[in-house]
Amino acid sequence: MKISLNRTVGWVVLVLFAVLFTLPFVWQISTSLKTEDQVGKSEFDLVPKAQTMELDGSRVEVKPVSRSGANQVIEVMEGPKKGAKLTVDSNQLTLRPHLEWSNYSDGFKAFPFFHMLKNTLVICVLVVLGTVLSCSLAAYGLACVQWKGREILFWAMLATMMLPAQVTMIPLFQTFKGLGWINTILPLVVPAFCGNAFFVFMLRQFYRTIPASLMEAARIDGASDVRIWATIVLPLSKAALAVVAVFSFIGAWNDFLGPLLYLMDDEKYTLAIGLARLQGQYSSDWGRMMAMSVVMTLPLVTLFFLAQRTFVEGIKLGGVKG
Amino acid sequence: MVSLTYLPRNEAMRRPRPIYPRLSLVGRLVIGASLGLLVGGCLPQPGPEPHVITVWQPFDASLQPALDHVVAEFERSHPGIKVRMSFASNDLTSSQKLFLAIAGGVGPDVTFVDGQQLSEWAARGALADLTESFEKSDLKKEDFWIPRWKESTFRNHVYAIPWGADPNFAFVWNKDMFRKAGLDPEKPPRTIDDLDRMADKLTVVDKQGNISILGINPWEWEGANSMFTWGYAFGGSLYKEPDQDHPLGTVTADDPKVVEALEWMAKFGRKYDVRKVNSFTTQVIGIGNDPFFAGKSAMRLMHVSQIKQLRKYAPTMDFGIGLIPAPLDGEYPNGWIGGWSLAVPRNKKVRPEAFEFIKWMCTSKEATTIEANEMEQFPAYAKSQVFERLSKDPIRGVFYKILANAKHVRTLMPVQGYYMERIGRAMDEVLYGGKAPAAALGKVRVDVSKRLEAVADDLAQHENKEQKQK
Amino acid sequence: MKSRTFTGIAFCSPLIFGLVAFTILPVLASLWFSLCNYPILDPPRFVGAANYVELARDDRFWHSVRNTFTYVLLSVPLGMIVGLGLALLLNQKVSGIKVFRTLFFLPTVVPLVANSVLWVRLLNPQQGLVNTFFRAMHMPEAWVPGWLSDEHWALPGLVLMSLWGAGGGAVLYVAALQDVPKELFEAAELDGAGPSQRFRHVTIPMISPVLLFTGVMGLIGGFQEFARAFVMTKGGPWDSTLFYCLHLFNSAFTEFRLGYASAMAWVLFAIILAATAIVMRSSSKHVQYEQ
Repeated sequence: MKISLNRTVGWVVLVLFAVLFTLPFVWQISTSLKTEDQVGKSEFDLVPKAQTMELDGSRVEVKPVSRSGANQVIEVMEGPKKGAKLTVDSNQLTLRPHLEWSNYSDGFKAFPFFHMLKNTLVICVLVVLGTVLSCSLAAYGLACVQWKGREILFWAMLATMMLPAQVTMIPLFQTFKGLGWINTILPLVVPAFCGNAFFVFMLRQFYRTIPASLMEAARIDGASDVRIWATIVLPLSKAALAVVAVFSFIGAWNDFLGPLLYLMDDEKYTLAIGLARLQGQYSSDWGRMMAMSVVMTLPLVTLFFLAQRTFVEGIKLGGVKG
Repeated sequence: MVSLTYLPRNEAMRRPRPIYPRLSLVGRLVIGASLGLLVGGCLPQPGPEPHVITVWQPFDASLQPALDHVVAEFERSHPGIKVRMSFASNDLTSSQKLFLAIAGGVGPDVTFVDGQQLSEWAARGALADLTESFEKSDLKKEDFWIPRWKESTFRNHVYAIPWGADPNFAFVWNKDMFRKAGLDPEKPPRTIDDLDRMADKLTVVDKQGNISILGINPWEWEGANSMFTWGYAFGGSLYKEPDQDHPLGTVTADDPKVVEALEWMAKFGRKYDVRKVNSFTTQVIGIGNDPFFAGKSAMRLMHVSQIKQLRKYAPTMDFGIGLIPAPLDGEYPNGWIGGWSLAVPRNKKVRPEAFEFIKWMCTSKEATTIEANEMEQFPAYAKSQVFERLSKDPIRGVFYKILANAKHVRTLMPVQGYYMERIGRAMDEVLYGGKAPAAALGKVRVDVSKRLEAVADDLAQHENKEQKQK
Repeated sequence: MKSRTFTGIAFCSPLIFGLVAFTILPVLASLWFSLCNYPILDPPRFVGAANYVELARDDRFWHSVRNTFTYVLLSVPLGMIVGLGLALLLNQKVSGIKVFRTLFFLPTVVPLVANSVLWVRLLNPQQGLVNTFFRAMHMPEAWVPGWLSDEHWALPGLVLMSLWGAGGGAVLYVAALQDVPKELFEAAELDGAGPSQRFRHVTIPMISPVLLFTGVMGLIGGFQEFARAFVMTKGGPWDSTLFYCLHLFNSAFTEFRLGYASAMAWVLFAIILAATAIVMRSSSKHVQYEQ
C-alpha cells in the first residue's frame, strides 16, 4: 500500500513537471498551426483557431484581409464561394478551432530544406563519429591509465574551455585558412575527431566509476589496453556514450555560427542557417519560423527517445557488476 | 588633435598578416595527410573563376525570390558575367563573418554594408576605396539621396554606393483606440504637447496601478535609435560634420535640443513609471506580445517594413499614418534615413565587373524596380523612376515625404558602435536612474570624443607608417 | 611504468593533436592580442599592459563582473538542484517513463530564437503566464516582478529561463543513477536507512563524479553566459544583464577593440580557472570514484 501511494504521488509530480517543461514546446507547435491574424493576439491561447462566419446556411472559414470603415473585409477560405471577398460586420465572425498546415508546406518551400538537411546530416554524422571515438579513447587515457602527465593534460584540456571563443576566433580562422579548409566542412568536422573537452571530461567521470578490479583482472589475464577499452569500458559506459552521441548530434545540428563562419556558399549551408533566415530585419514569418523550429526539433526528440534504450541496458549491466 | 591628411592606402600594407608564423611545410603536410585520410571528398574549392563575382547579402529568406530575380536580370543584361550571391548575416552592429573573412584574406567581391557601419568600417580599413571607379563611371553623387550619399563616404573618399534608403520613422496610430478614448481618429498629434495630451487620454491604468492600455512608448526602438529620432525631431543633432579642426567630426551628444528631447522622455518616464512602460516594448515584432499589433498600445513610430508586418498580423486594424510630432506645430520634423549600401572588402581588388554590378544594382531601372516592388524598399538612387509611383501611394507616400525631406543619418563617425551603445546607456541612466539628462549626455560627449581621438591616433600612426615605407 | 606513459599518450593522442593543431596557437595569439591595440582589421600593435590597466578603471567592466558572479551564484546551484530533482523523478520505474524523460529533455533542443520569443511572452509583467500565476496566488501587486523591464528582475528572469534547461543535466544524472547497483539501496534499507538517508549516503556519493562534472561545466558555462542576453535583453535594462562575455563581445566586434576584449578574456580565464580549481580541490574529499 505504502509503495503504491508513493508511486502515485511520484507520478502526479512527474506529470505536473512534465506539463511545465512541455508547455513551451506545445506553445511552439500551437503557434506553428495558427493563422497570421491569430499569431498576433495577446491572449495566451494554445488552441489554434480561425475566424468563421455563417454563409448560405453553413459555417465556413474566412480570413480577415483588411478593414473597410467599421466593417472587415474577409476572404472565404472554403465552400462553393471560396476565394470571394466580402465586407462583413465583425459581429458576424466567430472563432473555431483550426489547424493552419500551410505554415509547414510554405516553410519547406521557404528554403531548400532537403538540400540543407543533407548538408547538415553529413556534418552531424561525422561529428558524432569523431566525438564518440576520440573522446572515449582520450577519457580512457585520462581515467583508466595511470601516467605522469595525465593531470597536466587534463587541466590543459579543461583550460581550453575557459577562454571565451570570441578572442580565438580570428587566429583559428587563419589556421584553417592556412590549411586551405575555408569553405569546406573540415573546420566543422576535423576538430570533433580530436576530442572535445566537455565530453572527454564527462566520460572520464563515468569511467572512473568503473571498478578498477574489473580492469585489473582483465590485465592479469593478459588483455591489452585496447582490448580492455573495447570489451569492458565501452560496454559498461553505453549510457554515457549514448549521451555523448546525442548531445554532440544536437550541438552540430543546432550550430549556427560554425557553418556561417566557415562555409561561404548558400549551397553548403545547414538547416540552422536556413531557420535563422526566416527572421530578419525587414520581415519575420513567425508561423513558418515556428513550424520549421518544430520540424528541426522532432528528429532530435526522436533520436533522444531511441537512445534511451541504452539507459535501460545500463541497468542490467549495473546489476551484474555489484 | 592630430591633423589628418588623406594618404592613399598602400594595398600591400593592408593585406592581412598572419599573426604568428605559418606552419612549416612539413607540419602542414603531416596535418594535411592525416586529415586527408579522414575526409576524402571535401577538397578545397578551386580559385575564383574570372567571370564570376561573389556577393554577400544579409536578407531574410522572404526576400530570396527577389534576390534571385535581380541576379537573373543582371546576368541576362550582362552576358559573360555570373553572380554568385550568398547569405552572410549582419546584425547591424557587426558582421563577424565578414570581419573574419577580411582578416583571413578571403571573402566576396561585393558585400552589402549597412549605412551606419560605413565610416567605422572604412576608417578601420575593412573596405576598398571606390573613389577611382566612381570617378571613372557616369555616376553623380547628386543623383542619390544626400544623407545616404554622405553615409557612403569617409573623408571625401567613396567606400560604398548606397542601394536602399530607409526613412525613419513614420507615426502610426490605431484609430479604433482613438475613438474609444474619445479622440478624433483623423487628428493625430502634431506637437509634443498634443502627443503628451493624447497619450494621457489613451493610457488606461487599472485599479492595481498597472498600465493596461498605453498611449505610446517613446523609447521603444533600441535606445539610441529613439534618441536619434526624437533628438532630430526636437531640432537637435548628435553630430557635427568634419571641419578644419575636427577632421573626423564633432560629437554633440548634449546639444541643448537633444537634451530637451531626453528631458521630455524623462518626464514621460516619471509620469508612467519606466518599468511599466517598458513592459510594452516589442522585443519581437508581430508576435503575440507586440503591444501595438495586439491593440494594447495606441501609437508607434514605424519603419516601412513594419507596415507589411502590420497588414499580415493585424489585417483588420484601422490605422492612420503620418509624420511624427515635433515640439512646435508647423516645424517640419527632421527625419533621418539609414539603409544598405554595396561595397567591396578591402583585400579584394575592385574588379570592373564587380563595380559594374554595384552600379547596376543601385541605379538601373530593372534593379531599383525589383527593389521597390518585390523587396518593398526605397532605392537610395533619388532619380529612380519608381518614386513617381511610390510618392502617390497613400502609405508609402508618407515615407517618401520623410525620405525626400530627411536631412540626417545616424552619426557619421568611426566610433558609431560605441556611440550608439553609450547613448543607450545614458538613456537608461536617465530613465531608470533619474540622472539629469544634460549630465548623462555630457558624459557621453566626453567619453565618445575621447574614443574618437584614439581612433584619430590609430589612423595617424597608420599613415605615418605608410609614409615611411615610401 | 614507462610503458604506461606511452599507453596514456597513445590513447590521448587525438586530444593532444587537437590541442597542438587547433588550440595552442590561437590561445597564444589571443594572449599576445591582449597586450596590443588590435582593431581587428588592422594588424595588432603592442601597447604593453595598457588594456589591463584600462580594465581596472572601466566601470562597465566591474558592473559586468558583478552581474556575472550573481548569475553564476544563482544559476549553477539552482540548476544542479532542479536537475537532480528531475533526475530522481525520472528514475522512478513507472510506465511511460521514457516519454517523460523525453519531455523533460525537450527544452534543451528547442532552437534559441523560438525559445526567446516564448520567454519574452511568459515573462511579460502584465499578461505573461508567470505573473498571471503569481497574481492567482494573491501575491501583493507590489511584489509581482517586472522581469525583463525591471532592472532588479531581468537577471533573475534569465536565471529562471536557464532552469528550464535543467533537463540536460537531469539526463546525465539519470544515466549515472542507472549504474548505481540496486544491492546498495537494498543493503541500506536493511540497515534501516530512510529515503532521505539513502539519498544522502547512497545516491549522492554514487553520482558525485557526475555532479562534479555538471558543477564545473555549469561554472565554466555560467561565467561565459552570452546568448540569452544577446538575443533577449542586449544587456539591459540599465546594464542589469550586461554579462561579462556580452561586454567582451561588444568591445571586440562593435567597438573594434579586440585587444581590449582579449585582455578581458584572459582575466575571465583566470577567474574561471581559480573557481574551477577551488571546486575541484574542495570536492576531492566528497567525490567517490571506484578504485
